[in-house]
Amino acid sequence: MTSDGRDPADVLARARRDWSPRAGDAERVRRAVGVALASGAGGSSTAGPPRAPTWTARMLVASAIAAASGGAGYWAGRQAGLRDARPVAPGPDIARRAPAPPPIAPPAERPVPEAQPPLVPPAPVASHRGGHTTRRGGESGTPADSSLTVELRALRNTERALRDGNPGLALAFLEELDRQVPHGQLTEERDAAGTLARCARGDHPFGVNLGDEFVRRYPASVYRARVEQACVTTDPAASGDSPVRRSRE
Amino acid sequence: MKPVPFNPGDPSEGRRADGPGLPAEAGWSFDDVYNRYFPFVWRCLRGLGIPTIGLDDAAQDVFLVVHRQLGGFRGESSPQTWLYGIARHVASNHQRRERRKQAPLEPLVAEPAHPDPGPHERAEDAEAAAFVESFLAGLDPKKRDLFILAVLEEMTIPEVATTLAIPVNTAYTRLRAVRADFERALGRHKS
Repeated sequence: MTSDGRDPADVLARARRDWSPRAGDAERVRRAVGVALASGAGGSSTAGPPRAPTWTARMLVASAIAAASGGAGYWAGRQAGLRDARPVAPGPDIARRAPAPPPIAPPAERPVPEAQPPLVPPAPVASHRGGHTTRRGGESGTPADSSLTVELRALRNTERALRDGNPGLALAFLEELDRQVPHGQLTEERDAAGTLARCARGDHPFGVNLGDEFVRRYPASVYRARVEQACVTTDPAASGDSPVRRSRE
Repeated sequence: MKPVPFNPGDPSEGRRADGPGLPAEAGWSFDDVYNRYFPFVWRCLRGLGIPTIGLDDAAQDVFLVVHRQLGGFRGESSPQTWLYGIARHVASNHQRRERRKQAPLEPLVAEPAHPDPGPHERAEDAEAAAFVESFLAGLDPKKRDLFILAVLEEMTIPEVATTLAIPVNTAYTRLRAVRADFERALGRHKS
């Protein structure tokens, strides 16, 4: 007991309780880990200490492949997307006020943090626990693997576009994804990304709050907080004005 | 890749993740480790200075490493020792990345600390957590690690000494010092 009557043990117990995860935390992280592993990031994460020199070599190779494929895919998508998105792309104001958001798809491998999209694991390479490295998706994977890879790549590009303050481009990526993989596995992530992009663009469907709609569809979503944050200003009843206009005032 | 089963675990089980180590020969699965030690990893990451907004990312990174390295874990150290080493490394990486960012992310929503206690209890818990967090932020890393493991997670001193690769007597000495620091800081708090 200290001089002011506070018991250190009580303070510690309270802190411990506050820091303990809630039920939803474990399930949310579990889902994110599952998505990352399904995409092949589990074997090439740089988050942990390398255990042997061979791991370093493998990670360098995986990073190089990831950087090349991610960058090329993003550039190609950006060129295509810019053509579609230009008419609806927001002005500089909305770009500036777009918050730097937490990831849409569960973050995983970030071998080059400044250059890599931090969301979806980019690598088409998966290292197995036994140390063997295999390619996923594309020509060698099953159709499910392949479509998941396409989804992950598109979501990664979408997130990047959102971080760049370009929701029009983000929507273009998502539309392209809808054409390529109409019924994918990452429906919640796609829905979250679309909602975020529309909110960032200032869409105001009459009488509809996009954030509320998303929460209604996914009440326990990992992305709920982020969507609510992004969409709070799109409620026409609450604001009566567009975020773009308000930001210029 | 060995498939990772997704059996819903009970993440709230056991405040402390103590007990027997992972018998590698018994083939503990990723789910076993996840269900048993998720709370431990989560609290350690908090103690290591990961803000609430970054906990998901950091915990995910820890368990990706766990998934990758589980096959190589032979149980020569305790699971907490192994997991804490990973968590410390991940926390360090996350903090380095955060420092590089121009504009750090703000927490989106301040969620209630815990669903069970009432508002007053939650407020007190949050206040205590904020105090401990600020206390830990002021400690040097050696004392901080020891405080997290020995005081918050209540690991035994020999376990802590093994985890931190220090002599047991050194661990005892540091523990006495850091406890005294904590009580002094608590006495100053709100005085």
